[in-house]
Amino acid sequence: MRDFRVLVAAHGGLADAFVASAALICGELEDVHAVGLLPTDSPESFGERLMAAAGDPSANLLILTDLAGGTPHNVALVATRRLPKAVLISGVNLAVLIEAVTSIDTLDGESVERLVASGREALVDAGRLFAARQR
Amino acid sequence: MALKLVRVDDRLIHGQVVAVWLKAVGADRIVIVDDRTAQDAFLKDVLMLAAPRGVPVEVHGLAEGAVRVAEVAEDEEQAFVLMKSPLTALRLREAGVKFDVLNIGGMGSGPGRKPLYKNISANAEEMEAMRSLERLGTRVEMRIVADDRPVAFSSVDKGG
Repeated sequence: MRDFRVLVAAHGGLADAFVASAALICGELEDVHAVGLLPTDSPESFGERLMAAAGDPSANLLILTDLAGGTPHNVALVATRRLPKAVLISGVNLAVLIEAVTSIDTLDGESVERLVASGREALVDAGRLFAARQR
Repeated sequence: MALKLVRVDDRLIHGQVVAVWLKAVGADRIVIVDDRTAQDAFLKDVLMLAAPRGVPVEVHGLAEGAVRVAEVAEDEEQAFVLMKSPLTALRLREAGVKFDVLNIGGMGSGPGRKPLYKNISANAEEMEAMRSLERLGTRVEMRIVADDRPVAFSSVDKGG
């Protein structure tokens, strides 16, 4: 049983789409929340929604953001000051989200490293890989 | 004159700025003027991390920022100046820093702010600051991303 909440924070409709699409693959996701940055948002208004979605600030939390240096990520990084148990990972892809909701029960050094690795491994030059097999 | 762009953006350094504006204007240094960020080492670190590698970032409070921006304006280096509010731009201008154009790129909705142009909102004080800047000879332009056509503040200011 997973002991942490998952929060996806991303530009536009991407966060909602990540959660909805992961649910297509994994079935209904429990305690997974999306916060999307709207074109009309200020960092403050986005930060308020992010904190509301985080829930209990002292609880275990995994925040996945779409782009390091982007506003969802920058705001999340600032918010971690008030979320002592939050783990923040940028560059979310479907592989990371699926790994987080299906394979990890608790956030520690080893599991966080595994999460990051799952995301990296998902990014491959598939054409080259396929060509190598053909030879 | 090496102020490549003077921009108001409440998000300061973020995707639009990094992916589009820095390249479009060809700046090699980011100078941020913001009192709150200048006093907060953590917020400063967040901004430094958001900038592309190799582009130095400076964060100054208003008083120090006015001196520094005037200095980089005379420098060879191409600087991109960022602040959160037109009030800061007006104070820089009043402190003697000259810039011909102020780019308004990001002012999100918030208490007291009314929609001005596309996703840009402003409160009464900010509107007045932009009018004052124009009176002082700085052209105020709405332009969110570099591909947008700049739109004059005066053409969207219904209350002026």
